[in-house]
Amino acid sequence: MFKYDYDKALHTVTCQYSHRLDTIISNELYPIVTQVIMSHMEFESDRKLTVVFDFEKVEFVTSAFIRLCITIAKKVGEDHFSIVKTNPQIKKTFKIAGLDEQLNMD
Amino acid sequence: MADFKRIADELLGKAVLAGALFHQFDQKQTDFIVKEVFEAGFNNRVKLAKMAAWETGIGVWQHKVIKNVVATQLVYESIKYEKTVGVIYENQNEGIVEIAQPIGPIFGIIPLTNPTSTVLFKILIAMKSRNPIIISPPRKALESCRQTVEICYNAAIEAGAPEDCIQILPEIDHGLTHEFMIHPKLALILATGGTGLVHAAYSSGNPALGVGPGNVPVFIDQSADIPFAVRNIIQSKTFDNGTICASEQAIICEKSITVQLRQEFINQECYFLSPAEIAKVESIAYNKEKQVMSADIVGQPVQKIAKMAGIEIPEGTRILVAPQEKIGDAYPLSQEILAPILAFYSTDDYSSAIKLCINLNYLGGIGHTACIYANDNKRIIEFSKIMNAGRIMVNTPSAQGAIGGIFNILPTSLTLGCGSGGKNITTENVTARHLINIQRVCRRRENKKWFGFDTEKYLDETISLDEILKDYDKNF
Repeated sequence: MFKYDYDKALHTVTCQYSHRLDTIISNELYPIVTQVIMSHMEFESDRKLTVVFDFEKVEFVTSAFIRLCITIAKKVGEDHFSIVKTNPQIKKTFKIAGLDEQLNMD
Repeated sequence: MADFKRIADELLGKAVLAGALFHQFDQKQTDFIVKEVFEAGFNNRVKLAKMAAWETGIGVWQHKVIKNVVATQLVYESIKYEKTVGVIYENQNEGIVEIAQPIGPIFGIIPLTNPTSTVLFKILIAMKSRNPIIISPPRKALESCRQTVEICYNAAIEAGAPEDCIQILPEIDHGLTHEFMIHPKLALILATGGTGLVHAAYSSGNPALGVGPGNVPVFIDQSADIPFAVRNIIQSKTFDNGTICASEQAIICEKSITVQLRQEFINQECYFLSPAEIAKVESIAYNKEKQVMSADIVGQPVQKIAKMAGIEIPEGTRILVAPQEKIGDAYPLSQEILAPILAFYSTDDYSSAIKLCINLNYLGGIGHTACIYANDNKRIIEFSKIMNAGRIMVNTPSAQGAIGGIFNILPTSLTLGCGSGGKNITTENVTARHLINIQRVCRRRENKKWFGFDTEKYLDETISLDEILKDYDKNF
């Protein structure tokens, strides 16, 4: 459902999600993802953390998960957030919602 | 005004997101949501009906239960097998595949006369077509509409529908309604209401499916079964005290059957008003200044109307019948009156009767519904060809007939299209399939005649149409 990888050189956290991200799962993921990202932030310096959400295995999202995306993007700064490897249906969902550009979706 | 804009932005923003998420749902998931919403609405049919009757002071709660049943059970029956997601039609020979897509956020305007049933209906067809809906309730039915929305929304969410797929306006104000209707994020206005509101919807710049007013003429032919006709008319006109816009407004017959027909109405507990009593009823039933029916008598019981008019009627009277000579603004009871009051016309002959029907039809009810009781098929067809009505009810109570599903196989609907006559885009009973965009995938299937024809000939004006067609249609 969720795993992540940290690239120290690029100071980038890549979060991989999979399958159906329904409301319950999204609500469970929220504190976990937040904790992962906060644990890699360098609060003492100005170095910005980059966060990448990998959607290769994501089949379905709910508004709770979209809220998670928006919250994380706002926290790290929209320039340092992106969503990659989306399938066309998920891409369309974000496009209709008017969020694909804001969340730097590929 | 700025606050209205903020509310519209906020609710439509949520609706757009819900609509985007809805795109992910397949037919099975969609149908499950519809089923759960139907069951929730159906299981609350009595409570919601009582609330609506109490809050609005209009109609009969037992009849509003039936309306809620129509809006849930019958609407569900009429849409449950319909394909509204993905590929809905495929024809290999034609090379055509049709794909259904949701249209996006719908603004559902609800009439005071049928509040909870119309909310249930519009939510069900919106869910079936995977569209978010924002309900705009009438001020005097706000709480019952809120309850209906809450029941449906909870059921939808429990079934896995996107958050905010069903919303309701937080307050009632024309300015707020206007703000929603003109909003660029809105996909469609589903307008059921008064003429002014429907006109505003069509003028908004957004697509709209509206309804026109009704003024249903009922022609009773010599070939009709008169007791049957009267029984059906009463059943329809007394239903919820006449609040359905497809209910009968005027009875028209030839003089050869007038006495018999009149006696049958009396036998079945209808009361014929005298000229003096007609004047009294007109004064309370119609606002001459505004040229509309009076809101005070809409959906009121016949005894109350009589009391308001200051006339004595026998106990147990079911309908007030007002014999009329002419129609028009000077004759208020020739207009649409959503109460148990009927105009009654007797004409010299068949031709005069049909001409009178067309006049009534065009007096505020163009495109809506007309009704005939007859067993002469030729006359049924003649009448139908002359009327301008989306639905012509034959030997059927028009209120229950027009909404479909009980007396015929019309799609069950509480939004009855009135065609161009009613300034509508369709004469059909509006249902889920009107709320989808259909994409047509067109595989190459060449027109052999076109490709076998020398199109250079089109450039030569000396070649006649006959010569071109001879060559174009040539079949070796």
